[in-house]
Amino acid sequence: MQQQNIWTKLIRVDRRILYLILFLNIAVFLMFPFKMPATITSPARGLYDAVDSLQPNDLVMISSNWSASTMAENQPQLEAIIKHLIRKGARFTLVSNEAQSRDLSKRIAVGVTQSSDNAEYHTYGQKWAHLGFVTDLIAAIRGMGSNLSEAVKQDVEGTPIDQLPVLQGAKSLKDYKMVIDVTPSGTLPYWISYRPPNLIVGYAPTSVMAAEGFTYLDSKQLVGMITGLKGAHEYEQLMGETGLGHKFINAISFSHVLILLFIGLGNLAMIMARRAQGEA
Amino acid sequence: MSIQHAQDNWFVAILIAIISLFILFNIFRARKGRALYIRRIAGLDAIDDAIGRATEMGRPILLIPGMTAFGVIAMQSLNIFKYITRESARFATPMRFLTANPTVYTVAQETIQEAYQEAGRPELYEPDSIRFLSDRQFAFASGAAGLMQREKVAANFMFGEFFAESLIFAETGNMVGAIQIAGTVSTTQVPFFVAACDYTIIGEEFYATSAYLSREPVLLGSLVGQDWAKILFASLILFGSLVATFWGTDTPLLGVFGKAGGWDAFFKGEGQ
Amino acid sequence: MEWLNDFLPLSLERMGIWIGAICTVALYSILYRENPAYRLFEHLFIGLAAGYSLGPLVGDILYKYWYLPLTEGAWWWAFAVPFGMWLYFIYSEKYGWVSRIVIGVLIGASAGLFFQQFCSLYVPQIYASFKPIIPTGANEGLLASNAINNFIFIVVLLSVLTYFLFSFEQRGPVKRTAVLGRWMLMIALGAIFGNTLMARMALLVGRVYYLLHDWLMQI
Repeated sequence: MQQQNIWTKLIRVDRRILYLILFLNIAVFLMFPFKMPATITSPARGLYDAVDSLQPNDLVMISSNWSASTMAENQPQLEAIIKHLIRKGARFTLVSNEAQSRDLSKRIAVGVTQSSDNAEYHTYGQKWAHLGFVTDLIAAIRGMGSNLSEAVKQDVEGTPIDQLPVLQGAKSLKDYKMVIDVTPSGTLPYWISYRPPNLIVGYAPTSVMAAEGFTYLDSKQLVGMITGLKGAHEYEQLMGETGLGHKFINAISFSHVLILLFIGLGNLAMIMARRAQGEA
Repeated sequence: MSIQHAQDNWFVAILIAIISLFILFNIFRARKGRALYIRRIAGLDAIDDAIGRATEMGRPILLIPGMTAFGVIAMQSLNIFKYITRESARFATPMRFLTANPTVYTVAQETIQEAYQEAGRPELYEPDSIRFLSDRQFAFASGAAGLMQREKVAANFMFGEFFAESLIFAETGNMVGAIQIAGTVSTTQVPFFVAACDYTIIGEEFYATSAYLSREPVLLGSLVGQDWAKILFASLILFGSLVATFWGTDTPLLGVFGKAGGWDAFFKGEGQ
Repeated sequence: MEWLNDFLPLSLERMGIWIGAICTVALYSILYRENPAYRLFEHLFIGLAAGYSLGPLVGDILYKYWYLPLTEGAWWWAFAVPFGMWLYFIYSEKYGWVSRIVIGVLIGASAGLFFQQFCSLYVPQIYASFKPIIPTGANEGLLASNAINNFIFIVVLLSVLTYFLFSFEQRGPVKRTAVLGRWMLMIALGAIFGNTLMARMALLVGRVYYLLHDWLMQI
């Protein structure tokens, strides 16, 4: 009877207690982090190698389509990618399909470029620029694919596109080497479908959207993919840098352990309670 | 590798033409009155049970088409919601409809009103029961979750295109004890619905449900035409695997079926 | 004392962080129970999200793509806004048909674009599905393990395709294949669920980090 009560109580535990345990778990591992090396997956390696093979002054488009809701996953990815592009001396432009991302991604790009050792990136417009907000990504990609300055008339600061030093010599997306889609939503099919054929595509989705990416990886329509925060951690490790990915990975890993524990206990309690009821 | 134009690989153009022909032919058959068979989806019984339960509990049902922009998926969702509204109107079960798209909102008003008229209960239609909350994903989710909690909905029907907010709907519905039926083509959201809902209609079953309930010739014909296309793809894949196994993946014959430049390499001997 | 000075909202930046922290805690309060604070911040969030997107829409879209070209001589853009405004006729019973012109243009354009999307997305995937399933020597370097992987891939692909056939009653071997397809789907959905759990945990970790680092300054 005593044993039966324990299992029944376990099934009926108030979910608010579980939320509290989860919060404390995350807080503890954020406050007391330790080094946790990442196992580098081949999609992350693929994206890293693709960016690493860029030459100085190669043009890269970063399609940043996330909002504050997914900042925890997309911000570390964007920071790691921008740091790598700076390291390679590549030129990059950002474009956003989400209103909040226009400001968020610009703020992050300013932060990373200003704190970099490469002085060429300290001045906006020289080696990087933000092309602003576009409502219809399909129209924007097709437009940029034929004529960049017609499709995106001004950058986010109001400067005409053809007056930006970063885009000297670039008439359209055909002059870009790569596009990296940092997104929590389904924008990848648009880039794959409507880009110029020579433009290779990298993907930095939230973990939710990663499942879609595997089919494109298999068919080589994507060169690589970093999945959410874990992907950002892998990318940082490949670069030999520490960033938000490193800071968060302990908390995420051990929150998963906690969830597994809850699932195991919950199922065990359900089985034992049913068995006890059956015996009774 | 990317196929941008028909001349990149002519087989692709032929394939598109064949699939279009399948679909158009079956739409033609359906319009001519030919009874096209669609097998009954198991989720349909769950819909009827859910409506019955909501009626017994005297609490409203909630219809959510998700973040669906106005288009094919939205129209299919509205077909299903029209059926649900018609069925619930027979028992005068109160209904709430929440949308995140202004165009879907306006079309839904017409659709729901028609449903009540078809059920013979036009007086039950309340314009305020159809609400546009916000086009921002999590703002919409917060609003919908709040409404579920306040009105203690008895049944939750979620059909359409969903993104990350899907689990917020499903979990909140669970918390208020609602019976939940979901159907979506968003592969990434199906797991949440499977975990949190009483029944989930997965992927293409969503289109089949809409065709089955509405019996519109275009939908029926499209579904049967797509089935023919799937059989064609399956045959192609089987054939391609056998060729790849015995003649290698580099054989020009395989390039015909979807490699940019593969058609020319095989038929004109170019690029070999 | 120094910590307290840094903690309190005595500067604009700190006030912003305090507001963010209060919003976070208020919205998370739904986990305890439904309460007026959650409702207030829920409505605030909805209003803010709608209002925020208006700024870039007007500044980045209407001004850049409609007003500037119009004032620089592209007079035909004058028709763009009235044409778009026809969508509002959907509210009129008598003239509702006018809105269908706009909707028709939008749907027609999407339908046309979809042909290219289908070819670019799915045809390469069909081509990539032509995988060798037995190491016969026709493919140099094909290991037995890869061949087994490819065989599993083909079996799963065909069984899932069979599950989604609706135009005939599924019986016998077809039904068994469809059942296998459903099992494979469920396994894949479980993997997707795990991925998504990771996403949710990451977002929660991000918020907790904000509270502990930005607000409470404990990290």
